Amino acid sequence: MLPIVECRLCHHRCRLDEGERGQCRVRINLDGKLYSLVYGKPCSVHIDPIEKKPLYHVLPASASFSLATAGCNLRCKFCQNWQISQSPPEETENIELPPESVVQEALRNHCRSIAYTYSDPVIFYEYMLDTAKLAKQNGLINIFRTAAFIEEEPLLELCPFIQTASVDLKGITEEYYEKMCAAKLEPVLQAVKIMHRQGVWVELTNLVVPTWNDKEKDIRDLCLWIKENLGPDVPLHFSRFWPMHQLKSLPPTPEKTLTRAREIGLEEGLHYVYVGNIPEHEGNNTYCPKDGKLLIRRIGYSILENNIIDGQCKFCGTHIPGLWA
Amino acid sequence: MNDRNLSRRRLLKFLAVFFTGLFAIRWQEIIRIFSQKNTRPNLKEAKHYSRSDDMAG
Repeated sequence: MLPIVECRLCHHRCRLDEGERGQCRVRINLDGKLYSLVYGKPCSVHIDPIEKKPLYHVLPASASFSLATAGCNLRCKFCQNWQISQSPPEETENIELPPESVVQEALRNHCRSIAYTYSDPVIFYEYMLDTAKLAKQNGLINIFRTAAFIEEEPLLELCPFIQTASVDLKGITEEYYEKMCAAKLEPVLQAVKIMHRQGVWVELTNLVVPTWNDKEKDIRDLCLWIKENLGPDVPLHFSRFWPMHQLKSLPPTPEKTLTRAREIGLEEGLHYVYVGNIPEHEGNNTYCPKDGKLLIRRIGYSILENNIIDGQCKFCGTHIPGLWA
Repeated sequence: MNDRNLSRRRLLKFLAVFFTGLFAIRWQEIIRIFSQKNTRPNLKEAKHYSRSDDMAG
């Protein structure tokens, strides 16, 4: 009898019989070995502004070579990329793009970073890891765009090769993670702490979904957790929900809810709290936490003004944390 | 004259059927090529897993 295989990449810990796939749809037990079905086979490849990740403290106005494969280990009801994330690789249009080609293409297109994004890159871990190693050797920055539902061991193996992580902290209660994403909160919090401790530049995004996680208490608890566990300098992006996938009946997040969320974050002492998906909102901009002056003015993904010089506020010299050059 | 017309009609009919068939086959092939998804998996042995014969208990 062929052995059962247990995948120890994410906290689902799928136990797979022969020929069976994990919840991610892209990892399979064949002859007692676990295989990735999507190595070097992305289904989405684009060049994006880095602000789209969203990363506001990393190489502003630079281009990021962004890619994803099919599959995901979460089941978020609001997923904006559900066509790829909730599909097996047989149902997506894939191209052959081995790690060397990803790096070559990124350099050829004058990108300064490679973003593993769109679906959750945890599920194409081996592809991401090999690409990230090559990218780092070639002077590129690696961006881990993730929900951080990953076990400690693979995460620690990955950390030396990724410089930045844009993490979706989807909510702050176990109930929310369970009902909305079919995942768990605690492992995500642990993973975020590990990345931060390992020196990875972390920015967090919270998608504010009306009636689900938009209560003032939830938002305050989330901000408090960040301040207590990561410190006030970790940027937090409150992002506007748009009706998608299984939540088409909900309205978009009202602007005032996001404005209030940002106020709560600032009240709780976070230094960099942003509002996303609402162009021209003042929460798109970066302000100096010391003198309150405007440092980076943004409209959508465009930078209109940048007053950060060598990682410091041009006006008062305050150090602004991030990867600026 | 009637025989010549009949032959010509048969020839035209044959050619019509032949090229329609040929075109249909080629067209199916063309559709197949363009609608083909690159679904052949690149099997890569994954990291971070264990087998039941290695597991305790």
